[in-house]
Amino acid sequence: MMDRTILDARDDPVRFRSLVRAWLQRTVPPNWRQQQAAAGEEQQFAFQRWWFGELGKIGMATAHWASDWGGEALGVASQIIFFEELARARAPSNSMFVSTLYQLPATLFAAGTAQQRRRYIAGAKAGDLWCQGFSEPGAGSDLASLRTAAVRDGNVYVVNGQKVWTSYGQFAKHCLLLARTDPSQPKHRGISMFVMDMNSPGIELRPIRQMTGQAEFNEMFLQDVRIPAENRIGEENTGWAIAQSTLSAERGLIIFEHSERLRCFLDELLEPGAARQSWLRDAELRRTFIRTYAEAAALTAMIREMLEQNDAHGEMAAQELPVYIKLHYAVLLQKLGGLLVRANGLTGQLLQADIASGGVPNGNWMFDYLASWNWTIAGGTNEIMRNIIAERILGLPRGS
Amino acid sequence: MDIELVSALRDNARRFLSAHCASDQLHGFVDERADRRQLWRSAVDLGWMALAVPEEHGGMGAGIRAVAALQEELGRALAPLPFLSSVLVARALTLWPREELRAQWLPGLATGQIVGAVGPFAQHSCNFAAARLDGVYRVNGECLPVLDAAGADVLLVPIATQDGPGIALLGNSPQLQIHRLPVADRTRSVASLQCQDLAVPVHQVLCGAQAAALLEQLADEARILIASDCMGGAQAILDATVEYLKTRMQFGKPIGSFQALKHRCADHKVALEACKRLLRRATLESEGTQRALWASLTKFSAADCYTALAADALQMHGGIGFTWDHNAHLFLKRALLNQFLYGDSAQLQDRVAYLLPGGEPQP
Repeated sequence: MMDRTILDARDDPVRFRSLVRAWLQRTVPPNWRQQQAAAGEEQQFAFQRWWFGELGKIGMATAHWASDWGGEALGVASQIIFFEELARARAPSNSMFVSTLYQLPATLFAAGTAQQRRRYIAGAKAGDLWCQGFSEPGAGSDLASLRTAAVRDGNVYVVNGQKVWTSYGQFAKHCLLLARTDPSQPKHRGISMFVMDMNSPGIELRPIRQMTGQAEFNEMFLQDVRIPAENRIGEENTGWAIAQSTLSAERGLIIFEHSERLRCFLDELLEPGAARQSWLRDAELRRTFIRTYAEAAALTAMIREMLEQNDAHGEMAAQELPVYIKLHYAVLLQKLGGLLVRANGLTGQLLQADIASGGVPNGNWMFDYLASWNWTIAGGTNEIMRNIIAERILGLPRGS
Repeated sequence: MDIELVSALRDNARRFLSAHCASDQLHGFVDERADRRQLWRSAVDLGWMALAVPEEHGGMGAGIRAVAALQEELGRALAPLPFLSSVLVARALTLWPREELRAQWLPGLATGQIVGAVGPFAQHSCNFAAARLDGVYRVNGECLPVLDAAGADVLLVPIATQDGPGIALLGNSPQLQIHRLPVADRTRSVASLQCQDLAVPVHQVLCGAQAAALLEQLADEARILIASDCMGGAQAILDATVEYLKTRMQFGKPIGSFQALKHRCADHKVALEACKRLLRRATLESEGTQRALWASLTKFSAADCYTALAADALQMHGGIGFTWDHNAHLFLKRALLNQFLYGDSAQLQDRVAYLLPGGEPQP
C-alpha cells in the first residue's frame, strides 16, 4: 500500500522538503556507492529496480505523470524540491528507467488508446522496464530512412530488420518500436509505431561494448517477430509524428535531475577543506571553470522556466526550451569533462571503478569525460539539434 | 514598477527608437551629420531620465527591472544616449549617505538638464589625489577614459585621500578640464578629465567602508544594466544575421541553407537564450545577498555572448559586413566597449570564484 505522507505535504514546501529529506536519510543505503562500484549491468538493474520500488512506495517514482495516467500531477515547485533533495543526498539515479518514466507516457499521451494506457501504465508503474527500438545501422541521424519492415498478416504484423543502440534491451519487458509499414510512401510517411513484447520469438540481442567499457546498449535482430495489430500505437503510417513526441520527452525533463546533480557536483568541487581542488588556484583553469559554472546556472534557470511553462500550459507546452536545454547541457557536460581531465593531469587518466547508477559527472574524471559523448550523440546529435534550432526556430532554409 | 508598466515602457521605447534611431539616423549620429542632442531631448520628454530618480526628487522611482528593460532596448538600437551614466549617478546620489546632495542634483538629472558621468573604477587609470584643507578637498590629477564625460555636469570619480581611497562627486568648474577622446564605439563617447586644484566640498566626498559599499552596489547595478545592453544588441544582430542568411543568394540558394552558417547561428541562439535567463535571475537578485555573484556571472556571460555573436555576425555578412555603412561593426564595437566596463570577463570570473563558497582569494 502506498504511503501518501510525503505527497500529501506537497502544498507545504517546507514540510514537503523535510519529509523528503528524512525519507532519503532512512532509505538510501549509506554504502550504496561502494556496493555499486564496478557493478555489472545485472547488479545495476537489480539495484535500480529496488530503488524504483522504494520510490513507488511513496508515490514518487511516477509522481510527474498526470493524474488520469496513474500519476500524481506533482507541481513544478514540488518536483524541484524533490530533485534538489535527491541530488543533495547523492541518491541513486534511475538511469535505466528513462524510456519507462518519460518516453512511454509521452508516446501514449500523444497517440495511445485508452486500452493501451490501461494495459501498459500499470505495469510501468510496477517497474516493467521499457526500451526503445528506433535507430538502425543505416538510420541514425536520418532516422526516417529506417528499413525494419512490419508487414500486416491478418491480426498481426510480421517484423524483420535490425535495430541498434537499444539501451538495456536485455532487461526490458516491452519495446517502443518503429518499423516501416508502407515502403511505397515517402520515407516519413510510411512508418508506424508498435509496442513489442521483448519475450516474442525472433528477437536476438547482442550487447555492444562502448568506449567507457560498459555495455549499456544492444544490437537487436528481429526475424519474423509477430506483433498483434492491437499493439500498434496510433494509425498506420503515422509513427513518425508520434516518435517526435517520444523523443521530445528526452529533451528537457530528464535533464532536470542531471542538472540538479551537476549543481551539487560543482559546489562540491568548490568546497573548502581537503576536497578543495588545488587547480582552482590556476587562473586559466579557474576562469574556464567559472564560465562552466555560469553555463550550469543558466541551464538550471532554463529548465525551471520550461517546467513552469509546462505546468501552466500543459505537458509539452514548452517547444523551444527543451531543444536549447538538450544542446546546452550536452556541450556543457563535455566542456566540463574536458576541463576536469585537463585539471587533474596524469592522475586524471587513472581509471576508477564506475559507480553504477551514480550519474555523471561523478568525479571519475576520465569516465565522466568519455560518458559525455553519450549526450552529444544520443537523442539527437548536437548537429541535429543545431539543425532543429536553425530551421524550426530561427526559420533558416533547409539544406537541399 | 509592475510587470505591465515595464512591458509598456519596453514597447514604447522600441517603437520610439525604431522611428528615431533607425539605421540611417544612427549612421547620421555616428558620422556627426545629425545632432544627437535632439535624440536626448526626446528621451527626456519620454521620461527616461526620470526613471531611476526617486519620486520625492521629481523622478519615477522605478526599480532596476524597468531600467534594465529600457537599457536592453537602447542596446538593441545602439542608441547614442548617455542613459547608463546618468542613471548610475542618480543611483549613487540616492545611495549617498548624506541627504543634501540629492536635492542639489537629482531633480536636474530627472529632467535631463543635468547629465552624469562615472569614472573608471576597475582600470586603475585614475590618479586623482585629494588633500583636505579648510573644509574642502583640493583635487589634482588625471582620469581617463571616462564614459559620457563630455558634456557631463556631475561626475562620480575615484580619488585617493589621506583617509584612504574614496569617491567624489565633481561639478562643472574651470578647474576641471574635460577633453573628448576618439573611441572606436561611436555610439558612445569617452573623455579625459584633468583636475587642477579643483575645490570639492567635503560632503561631496565619501571615504572608507561607506565609499566601498556604495561603489560595490553601484558597480553591480551597472553590470546588470550593461548585460541588458548586451542582450538587446545580441538579439538585434542575431535577428539581422538570420534575415541576411535567408535572403543572400550564392550558388543558387540562400546561404542560410549551409550548415557551416546555420549551426553557428544555432549555437549563438542557445548562448543568447541561456544568458537571458541569467539576466532575469540577476535582476531578481539585485536587492538580495547574492547580488554580487549574479551580477558578475551575468555581466561576463552576456558580454562574452554579445562579443562572440557580433564578431561572427560580421563574418557571416561577408563583404557587406566589412563596410562602414553596415551596422555589423557598430554592434561589434559596442560589444567590445561593454567588455571593459565595470570589470572585464577575467576579472569578473575571478570575482565569482572569490564570492562562491570556499572563496578563491582575489588576485
